Amino acid sequence: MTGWKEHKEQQLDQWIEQIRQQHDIPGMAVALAEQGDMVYARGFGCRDQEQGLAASENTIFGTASVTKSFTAAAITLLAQEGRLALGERVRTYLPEFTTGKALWDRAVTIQHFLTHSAGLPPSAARRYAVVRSMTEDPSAAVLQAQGKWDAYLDYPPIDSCEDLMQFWKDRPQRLLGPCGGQFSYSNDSYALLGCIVERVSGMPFSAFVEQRLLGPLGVERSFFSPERLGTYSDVTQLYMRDMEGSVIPAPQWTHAPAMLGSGYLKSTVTDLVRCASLYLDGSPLFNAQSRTNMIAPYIPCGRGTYYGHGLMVHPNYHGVTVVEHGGSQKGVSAAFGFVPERNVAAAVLTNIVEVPANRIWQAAVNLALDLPMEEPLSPEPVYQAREEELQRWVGVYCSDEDVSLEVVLKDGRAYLLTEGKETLIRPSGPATGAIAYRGGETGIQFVPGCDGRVAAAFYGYRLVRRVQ
Amino acid sequence: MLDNERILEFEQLVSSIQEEYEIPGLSVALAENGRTLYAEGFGMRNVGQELKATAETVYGIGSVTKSFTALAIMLLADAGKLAVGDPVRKHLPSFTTGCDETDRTVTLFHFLTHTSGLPPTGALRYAMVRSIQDDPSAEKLREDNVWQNWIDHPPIDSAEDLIQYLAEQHPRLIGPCGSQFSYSNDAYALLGAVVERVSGMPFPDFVEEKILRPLGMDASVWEPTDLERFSDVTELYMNDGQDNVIAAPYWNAAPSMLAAGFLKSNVLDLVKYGQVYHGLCNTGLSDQGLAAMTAPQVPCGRGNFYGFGLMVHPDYHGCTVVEHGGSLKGIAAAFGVVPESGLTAAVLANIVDVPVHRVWLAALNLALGLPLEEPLTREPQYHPGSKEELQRWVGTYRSDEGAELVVTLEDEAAYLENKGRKQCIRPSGPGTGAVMYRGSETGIRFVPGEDGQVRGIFHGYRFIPKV
Repeated sequence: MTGWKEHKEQQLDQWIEQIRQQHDIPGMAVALAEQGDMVYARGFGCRDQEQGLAASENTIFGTASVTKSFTAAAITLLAQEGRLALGERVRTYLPEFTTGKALWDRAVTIQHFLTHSAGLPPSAARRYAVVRSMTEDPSAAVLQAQGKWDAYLDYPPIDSCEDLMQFWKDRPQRLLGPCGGQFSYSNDSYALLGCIVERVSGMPFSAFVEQRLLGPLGVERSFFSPERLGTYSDVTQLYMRDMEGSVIPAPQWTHAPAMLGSGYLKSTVTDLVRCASLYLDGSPLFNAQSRTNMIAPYIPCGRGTYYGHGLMVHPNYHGVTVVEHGGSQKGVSAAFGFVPERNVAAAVLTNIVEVPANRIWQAAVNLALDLPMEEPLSPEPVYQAREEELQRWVGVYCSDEDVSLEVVLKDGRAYLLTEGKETLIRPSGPATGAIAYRGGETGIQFVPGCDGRVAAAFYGYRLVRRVQ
Repeated sequence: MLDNERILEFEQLVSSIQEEYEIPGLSVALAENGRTLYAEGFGMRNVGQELKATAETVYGIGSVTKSFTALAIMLLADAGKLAVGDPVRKHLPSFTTGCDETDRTVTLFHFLTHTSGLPPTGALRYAMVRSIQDDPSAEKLREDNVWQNWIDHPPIDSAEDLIQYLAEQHPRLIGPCGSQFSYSNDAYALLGAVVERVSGMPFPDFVEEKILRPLGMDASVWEPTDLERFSDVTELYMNDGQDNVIAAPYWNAAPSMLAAGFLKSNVLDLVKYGQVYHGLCNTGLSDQGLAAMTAPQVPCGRGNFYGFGLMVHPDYHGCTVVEHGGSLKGIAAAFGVVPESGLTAAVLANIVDVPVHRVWLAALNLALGLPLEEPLTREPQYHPGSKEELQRWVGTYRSDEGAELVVTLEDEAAYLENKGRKQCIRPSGPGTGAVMYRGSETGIRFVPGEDGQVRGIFHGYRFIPKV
């Protein structure tokens, strides 16, 4: 830990500890590298509160959707080796996958899956894919109490890629639009990319990522199988909030063998920061072309934010490009990414969901870039909305995943109701707003349909259809 | 082998289209797995001299050139000299739209798929103006009082001029990069400049050395002066506005925008070129590059997508149709392949705004055993729930490229007026309709803005803003 100016280190330590306490995060770890040197790496709080075990920079956490960057890297490696092409149709490799719409089935490409632009709506598949790993967990009891558990049981468990494809056959969904037309985050797309990796490589997806991507980097504490957790020391406990909001252990690791490509890698912050070298100059695996193509800002997915391949790209952050991805899952809030122009990489992993890992990540990166620590990535502007404008947003929005939103108007202000919480929507444009979220702000966009009325809300990176 | 009766039927169709649209001359070629099934000229390549059009007649191919440009980019990608994800500014550092975010975001991918957010601009006029001064077409522009639009900016003679023009214009962008397709000649012209900078060769030389020569496309050239080498070259024709077809002999030339549409070729060369997209010809294009070019990357119409320099219809009776058209004064072109069946077809004509695409599709249908007039896509039937649905469409839509469309409502029906022609819009959905365009029905779409009001019309593959 040399070279990183001491005042930066102290500043960051203090700020992170304050956020950790404010958000009631049991334990977390943060690492940052400059020019390939790990200049900051440490744990905060406890990896196991009950046993009083401190979190460290080597603690193994879940990474949830940060996994998607590895899935995209696996596809890229196969493309670089000439074993597949990103422009190829998905049906070349997954002929049995169908949405029931011939045009879509014939049009969708690997590139569409990589950029979440296939037009697949948020789906329920994830629930049936994780259900077996939840039955013993306190999280199932909470879902039961909330009346949400039945939605995990009304379809057989999805245990394999084949099951996932069967699910789409059994439950044809209304697509969001033609391939390539619009971004909407899709776990199913990334799970299916994992299937493609298996079919092309002839290896299990987890083995491919571990042997072909992680192996050459020399990282040793990153893997998929929950069974391997027992063979390591310094593994985190997982936590959740009970109905009263108290933090309790929720020890069962969420696992979805059929959907590994969408988010089930376990890792440490130091491992993740080393993995960033895959995307940076001097990458041990990828040529310049592959690296560029993975982080190109293909399609907008938020204000000033674009999606590359398994990574979000902010092309214009104080003159540099910020590339990052987050992850959320029971017992996991994760943030990972890098700044290619400065060869800066950072990772944040925590052991509880819905805490601002992304803000902590940003603060660390801001320090490295000599920017104010709380500088936001893409601030929502201020806008004075007329009541007619807000009136257009009012409605109920639903997806099959587990998102249900309602927008109501009270005293001339718009509020978002979700998960039993009511939050003010601060207008940031005629059809956009900002909502307080994990101590920062997140955007919501109201998308007009062809008749001009609001047809969907783009929220949490997903297009959620208006139902009322 | 083609059925003789069907060939006769096809030739009757071509003749009737030729007559109806007063096409002086056109040529057709159809090939299967590299073997020519059919190649024929119709009418005259030169009416005054009574010279017949043949399969060897050289025509302009207009925007069919864009697939050559995209192919050149992909060959450079294969050589490791650029990446499709490269920022445009990596290769053209002075490129600017006046929008900082777009300038930093736009990649070659966005240019290749017409999704940079650049609106239709007037650049092509200023790039071509020097070549048309003495042509009858300039006279017609003067009569129509639009000549001013050609000379209100200095000529655009180089890529630098084009970049300068866009910098000055601060074009009102359609949206963030990657959000919306709108056909951009400027983007393709700039891709040509990228080829030059990266290869260190003039763009036409690169295409000649890496594509035309290896494929044996001996009748394909860039410069009007190169045409002197050939005996079988078409004259160019135009409609003088009084329904007379007259010769308009000066070739449109735009040295700064060659890559957008200025190659000349014949249908026999184009079917040779088709082999590239069957993966059979040795330009050295990788499987990766071929897949990317012919992938349905972004939607650009009903059942229609844009790849790189090519349009892709993924589901035409269980086949994929990959094609591109071209239009310039004295030029109507259609080219494409059906990868599953090894088919390639090309149609070239010597007058603009005529339905060569219909002829081209009929040729494919002939080979595919489909009814000759089977359309690529059909706009559905739709009955608007209320008059307000159509009322929303009413307005004037205008682009700097020269499009001006007026939508009006009369007796419960919506009408589109374009270039002095007024026609009924047949509603095909809540925000979509069908109109006749170059002899076939084509879809239009009214694009809502953030406030839900119509902010533009998507017509002729371009976003045209409401004014």
